[in-house]
Amino acid sequence: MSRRSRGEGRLGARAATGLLLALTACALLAAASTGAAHVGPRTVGAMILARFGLLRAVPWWSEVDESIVFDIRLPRAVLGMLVGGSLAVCGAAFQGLFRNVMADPFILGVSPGAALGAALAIVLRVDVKLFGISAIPLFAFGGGLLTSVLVYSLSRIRSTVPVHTLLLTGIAVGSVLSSLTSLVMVLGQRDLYQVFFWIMGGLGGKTWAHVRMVLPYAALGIVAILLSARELNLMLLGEEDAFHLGVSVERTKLRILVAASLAAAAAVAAAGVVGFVGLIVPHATRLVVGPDHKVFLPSAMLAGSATVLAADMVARSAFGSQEIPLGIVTALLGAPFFLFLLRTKGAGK
Amino acid sequence: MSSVGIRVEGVEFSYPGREVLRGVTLEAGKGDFVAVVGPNGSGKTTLLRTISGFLKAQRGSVYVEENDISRLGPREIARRVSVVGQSSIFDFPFSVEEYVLFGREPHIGPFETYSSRDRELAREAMDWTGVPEMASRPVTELSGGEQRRVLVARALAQQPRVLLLDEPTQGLDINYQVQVMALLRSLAKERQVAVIAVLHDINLASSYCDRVILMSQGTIYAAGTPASAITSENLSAVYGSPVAVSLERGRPFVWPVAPVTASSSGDATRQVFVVGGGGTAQRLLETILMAGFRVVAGVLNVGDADWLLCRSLGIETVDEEPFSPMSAARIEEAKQHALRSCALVLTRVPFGPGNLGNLEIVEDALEMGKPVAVMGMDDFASRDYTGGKAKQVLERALASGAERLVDEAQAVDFLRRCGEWARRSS
Repeated sequence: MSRRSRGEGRLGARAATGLLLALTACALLAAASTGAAHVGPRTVGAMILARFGLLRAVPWWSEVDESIVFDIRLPRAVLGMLVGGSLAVCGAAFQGLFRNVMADPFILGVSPGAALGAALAIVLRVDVKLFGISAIPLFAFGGGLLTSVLVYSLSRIRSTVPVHTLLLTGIAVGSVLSSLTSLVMVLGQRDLYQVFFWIMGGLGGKTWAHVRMVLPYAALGIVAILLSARELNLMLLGEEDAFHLGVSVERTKLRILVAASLAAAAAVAAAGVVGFVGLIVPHATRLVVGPDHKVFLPSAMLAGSATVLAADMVARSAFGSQEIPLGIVTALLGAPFFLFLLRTKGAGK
Repeated sequence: MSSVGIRVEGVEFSYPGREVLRGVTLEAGKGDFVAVVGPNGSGKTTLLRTISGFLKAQRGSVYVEENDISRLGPREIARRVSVVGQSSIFDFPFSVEEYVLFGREPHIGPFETYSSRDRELAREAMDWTGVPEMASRPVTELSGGEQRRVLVARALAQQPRVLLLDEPTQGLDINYQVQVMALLRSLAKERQVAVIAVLHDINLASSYCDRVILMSQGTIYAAGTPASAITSENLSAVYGSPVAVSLERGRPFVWPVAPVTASSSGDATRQVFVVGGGGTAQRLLETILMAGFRVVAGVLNVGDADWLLCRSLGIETVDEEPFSPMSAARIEEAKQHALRSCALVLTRVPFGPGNLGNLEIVEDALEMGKPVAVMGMDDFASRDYTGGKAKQVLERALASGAERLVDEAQAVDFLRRCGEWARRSS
């Protein structure tokens, strides 16, 4: 019966999750095996298994190799997974909340807000630490969160927040913040290069410390969104229907906005503005697994992780030793892919 | 457990600058099937949204099974009340079965999945509404009518104590309209659900509902059994255009009458005086009302079949005591009405000593130059119980210009000509 109940041409929940898990694991292994120093996937796999005590073997690799994999490649890859997963889940949640497949974390102004925060922290050389977190991600995180609070309160009409108002307010506030970021860059010219590269996005030089900084926010946001899967399903039926099926509509909106701000701000704080992942990955995933958020959200998360890992491999190897910003890769590859989806699947319905 | 499903007490609701509900009080017991009817903008949908807790009333209270709805959370409400609204969105390709299963959401815990019982209830609801063969189809591909039925199925799967519906039959063909109404009725009766439906179709409401609430400008204008609430006086007052109501199998049946525009009401060129009685005027009255004429009838005995019909159609009559001969005073009153009309029509009414006086009205009208028509003269002999007196009068009338009419269609033609003539001469 449950098989018949699914829409035709849809992948089952287990098949989708299994396939995506395998894909993400392969991407992780590939990411940890790609680079100037030749350490192949077999060696990397063995290193990881040995590290967790799952493989008893005489190491045939050098300590330098091990250091390259564990101190340089793996933190970068794990961070990429976190960022990709966060952005995709965020985009998926917003698309559900707004009932609009064109929504992404950037449209709400969260990412421009985070970017402005980071730019300020860099230019003003802010040197504070809160609970062991350094200034740049802290400011980025705060910028993202403040922006969503601003957009939310600007969109508030009496006790409700109509989603189309939220969407339009987000666009307006986002463009104001982008201009402010540009202004900060112009005024703080000596840091122009650093701010520019930070905003363009990238995972270069990231360490386990970055992972530890981002993990709690990303995890909290992602988990809160994953736990809202059922409410998001009901929100797709319209807010009135969602209410009549037992959803506290405004509370759910607020929870998703806070959770998505956390996850998106954490992702941007770690990797800069990585475009199109939050828009295209959820969209493509929905076409494959269907609209049920219980399956769709975890699938989008895994697909987002795999996508950013793949894009990062392109970013650091496409032009030889010259690494290009991750945001450029995702936009360059993502936008044409999106156009392709739009034309073949009638996505703009 | 209480037998009251919904109790609404003095509910007021306004949007900024616009008062929508001005004190509504009503009650629907479990097992009741209540219809809410009324013109566009009378507050029906807002009333439903207030009852469902989606809108918060600024004054007054709504009780669900004696619980104040403002003290219940959405989940607690959703376990008792289900709603088929007008604003459902079908943009995402859930299958019909998934969509119906959403009706189970308020009943399952945050970490539970659908049980086999949930699936069984969903399937049962789909069977009831005739959608089981579409179970695996995406809702995005359904027609508007199919989507309405899926919504009703979802509401049933919710196992409500109170079911609220906004135009549940909209977009359905006549077959499904009847099926949905019969389903709602049996749901109310067999499962003891309080069903409240906003309906545009007053006849559908009249045929299936126990009670009808007629709304007008944010208040309840009339409420009660279909026969007591659906009267031509009530409907004409609320909808602002004349409607005719007759009884079909004991329930009111409403049919529209061509609107008499403000300028033509009280206009002699659209008024017709009908002399009838004994039920002979029925088809004529319905036909000429539909053609847009105003009718005054007389003289009729109170309780006569035509008199009853005129009452239900909202037609003005000149009344005489029951079973009494027409008195001179009534005849005189009728003559005045006839003179203010563009024409006079005499039905196939039998004449006896009691109503012979009515022929005076006919003669008087002819003398005063009013057009007069007589229906079905051929068989008059069989209807004459006056020993030929009535026949004499009528033959005189025909000789001095009264028209003979064979059927109602001819009557309408005749009246249009008279109206035209009256307009030109005035």
